[in-house]
Amino acid sequence: MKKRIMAIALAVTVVISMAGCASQSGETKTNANENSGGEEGSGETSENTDVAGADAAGAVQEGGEITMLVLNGLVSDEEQGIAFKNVIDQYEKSHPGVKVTLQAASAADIKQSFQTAALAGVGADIVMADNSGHAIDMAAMGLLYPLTEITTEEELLSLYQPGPLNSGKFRGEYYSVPWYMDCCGFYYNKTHLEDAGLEVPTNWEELSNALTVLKSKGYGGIITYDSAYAFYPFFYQNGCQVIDTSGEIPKVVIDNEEGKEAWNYICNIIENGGMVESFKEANNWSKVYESFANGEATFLLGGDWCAGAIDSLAPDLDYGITVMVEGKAPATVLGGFTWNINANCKNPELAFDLIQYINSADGDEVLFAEGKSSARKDFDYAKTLEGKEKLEILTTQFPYTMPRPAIINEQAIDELITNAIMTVVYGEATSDEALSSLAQKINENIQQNYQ
Amino acid sequence: MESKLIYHKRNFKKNLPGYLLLAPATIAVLALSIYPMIRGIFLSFMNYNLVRARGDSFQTFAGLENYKKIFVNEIFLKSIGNTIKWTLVNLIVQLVVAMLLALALNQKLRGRAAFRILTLVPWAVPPYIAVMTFTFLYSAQVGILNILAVRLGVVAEAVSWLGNKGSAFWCIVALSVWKGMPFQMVFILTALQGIPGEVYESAKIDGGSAWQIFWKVTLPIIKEPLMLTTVLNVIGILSSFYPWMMTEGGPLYSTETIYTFAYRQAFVNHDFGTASASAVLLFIFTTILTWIYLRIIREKN
Amino acid sequence: MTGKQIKKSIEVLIIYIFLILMVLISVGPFVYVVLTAFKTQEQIYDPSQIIPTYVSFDNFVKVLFHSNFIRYFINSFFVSAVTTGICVVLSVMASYALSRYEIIGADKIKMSILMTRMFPGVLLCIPFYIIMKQLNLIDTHSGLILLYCSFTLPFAIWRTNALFSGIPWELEESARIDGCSRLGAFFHVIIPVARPGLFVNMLFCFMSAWEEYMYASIFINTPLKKTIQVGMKDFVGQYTIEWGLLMTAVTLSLIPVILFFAMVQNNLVGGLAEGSVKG
Repeated sequence: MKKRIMAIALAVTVVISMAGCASQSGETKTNANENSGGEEGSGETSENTDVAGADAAGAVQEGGEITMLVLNGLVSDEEQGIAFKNVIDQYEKSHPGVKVTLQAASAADIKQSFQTAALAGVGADIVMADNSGHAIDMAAMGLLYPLTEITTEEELLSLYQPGPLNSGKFRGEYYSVPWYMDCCGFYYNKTHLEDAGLEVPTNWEELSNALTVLKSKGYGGIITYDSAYAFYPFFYQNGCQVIDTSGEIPKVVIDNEEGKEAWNYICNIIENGGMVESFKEANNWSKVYESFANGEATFLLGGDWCAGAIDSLAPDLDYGITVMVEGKAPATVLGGFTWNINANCKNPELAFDLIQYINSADGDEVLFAEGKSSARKDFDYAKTLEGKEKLEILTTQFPYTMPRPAIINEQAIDELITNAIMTVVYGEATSDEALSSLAQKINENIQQNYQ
Repeated sequence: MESKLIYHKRNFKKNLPGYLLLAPATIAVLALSIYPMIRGIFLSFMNYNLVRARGDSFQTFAGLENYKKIFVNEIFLKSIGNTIKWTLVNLIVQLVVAMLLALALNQKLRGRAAFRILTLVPWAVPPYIAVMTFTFLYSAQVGILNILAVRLGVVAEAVSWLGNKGSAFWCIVALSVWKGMPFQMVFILTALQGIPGEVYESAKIDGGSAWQIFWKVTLPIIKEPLMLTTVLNVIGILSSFYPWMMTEGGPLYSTETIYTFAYRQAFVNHDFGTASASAVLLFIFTTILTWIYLRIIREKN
Repeated sequence: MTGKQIKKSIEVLIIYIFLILMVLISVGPFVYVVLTAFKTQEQIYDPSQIIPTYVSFDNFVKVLFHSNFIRYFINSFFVSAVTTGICVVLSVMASYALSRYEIIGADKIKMSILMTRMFPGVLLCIPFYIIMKQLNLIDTHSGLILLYCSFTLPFAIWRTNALFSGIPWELEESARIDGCSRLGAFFHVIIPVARPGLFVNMLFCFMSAWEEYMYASIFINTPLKKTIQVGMKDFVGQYTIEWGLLMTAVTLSLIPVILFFAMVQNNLVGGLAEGSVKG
């Protein structure tokens, strides 16, 4: 008897699932059909680009549907999610006939999710991308819509900070509209410094000295993410671009005079035990805060987001934030997110209009809710940093904030640099050996990815 | 012996119900998987570096170029050794522990049900969470492992277990065994439960020791399900994603397996040509292992 | 006599020690997960709070009532249960055919089914996406169920087939002689004998679908359609992890799974051991 019931139950589930299939596939049919028109659409629009300005308004008035793939937090019951929904609702209200559908993914998945869909000829019309080279990869794959078809370089340059804008520049064309940005700053443990009788280091030399003194007092040195991120500023400050992406084919300049100097400085810190043990395993940011909050490290190199995390882990920790230690010129490295339009999008003008709206003062409430800084030049930082005045000093660096090299497969390049640093950490290579082998490996990588 | 139920060989009509019963599953699996697989094999012979989508050579025939490329890639060569080590260690440890546990849980004991359920718990913990939890346990700062190791005097000061080349591999193996062992255990336990009590009784009357009973009685009976689960387990171990989830194949590629290499090529380097080539090699490797298993089974019959 | 008894009780003792050790290893990390669920963010990194001295249920309230957790849970349960249902029915049908009929090329069919599982799954994303696009199943649970079936069916068929092959023909035959139809014999003889194995198989199918992450993250984009594994990432930001909420979600999500384990555990005994046939 029991078996009969089981068999029947199974049969019922199968039937239900079949019914489920039928109804659900009905729903999606319409969606897919709309999307499949996308490829032709983009072809058409690119033809009448010269009248883009006038046309854009027309296209917007006609209405249409836009799908956006954003980070999870923007589609949530949290403050920023509510704010984002508000902004979208306002846009829909002021643009009758326009319908915006939100999709969400985690920061770790968003690129792969979009990429898979776009390669299959569909995908969201607008996608958020990390400005650490994600847009470059997608542009190289032909998945992004070039922005100068809709707007002009001058307009983009007049609106946005150069760093984030350049993060989406590939082969002379712009693909990303910057949204929010941050830069790598310098966090220090006040208690440790006072105990060691040290001032906050402001330049390279002071930093090396401070590390030596701290070590002799039994304090740890620097913690940062196990990647090239926090090491770029040393090269940039010394006038080395690491990889020169201005030409048709990128040129490795990490081993030029300035680069060597910066590299040797970094290796010197490592060899003198300036990095804490946790650095070796810091492959997520949580480990970084953990080390700083627990007092293992005295210095932390990271963006504005670290402050909130440290506060929640160790509310009593006495720490300060300042700009990166200075080299020959002020410079630091960029973080943040951009908006990108899918090459399959059938109404890029409308997509761009929506992006402009979110990026304008009308959409700033989203950034205020999260305490993020817009990449717009005329942004009101005071409002977003209310209660986080400590971070205000970092915004002074925005004009000097440079993106990581705008190169295909930036993640692979980053890995090569990190591995070169690790070989020094493990004592497997001297700084010179590591640098020459690194330069060679980056060159090989570039050769593979560029004609 | 003639039987009403045994149908004549090659009598299609009489076996028709069998074909009808087999068809849905076969069609479902093959229809969905054949195209992706063939495409994967096909791509391994193509120039298919996605970030060169605008180049002239994109999507042209590459011959064995991709295979040549990966065989001069030092990361790939390193990953072969790692894969063999990874598979052997995982398989042996999982099998031995699962077997011992299943044998113990097959005894009539007090609280057996609770023991059985509790030892299954690792299986229920989602992989991503298991990775996070273990990463936390290994942490150089607040990890239990370090607190214990320092207290017991194994190490002088806290060590980054996941950040050092020697230990990272074993840390991931521990996670993989912890997560994978329970299923092996249940499967073996099911097989053990299928052995009638009388078999043991008679063996005991014959005066065999526990060890002898295991080798001479238990093992031969459960040999076939054991081998099956081993083969299916090998397939799972070879395509394990834990090394990537925990350390992304690092530090310095010391935990890179062929599987993570394929992933790296596809989603970090965007080169589906070489990614497919390494996937095909892994595929061939697995096929050979399975084929050997089938040979052994068939010979026995 | 007494010597034998002592030896016996030492044996039992060793077994218990071994089992307790295994339980500690198995449950230890899980206990950590549960403990974390009761902690606030600052307690998590505080070594003195490994066992929290004050507990908070805020995380549970937040996960249950102020997040999409329940929705994700239902989605996942639906997808996993239907996958399991389809897989068990289809694999039983196929395995019965493979073990009780003379199928031409049976070995080749079996092998080709298994081979589909040997190609690394990460590379199949894009072609699967193209297929799903053709079928209009992108961003649907049906699409996910179909994919999961294609992953779990090969293993399910192999295991069920091994199960059925091990059941002697004579059992079925005697039932037929007693006047059962072929279908009747199947339900009255084969299923009861194979029951423990089938339950383990069900568990395997369920867990495979329940745990799957990658395809769920790529194929489902609508927030409310997410499965629980992908949904848990709501608590993981780019730079911060809300450990308390994450671990609360995990703890809650484990309840049905462990109930399922208990059910399977109860059905592990049976089959041939129940004594329907000897040898």
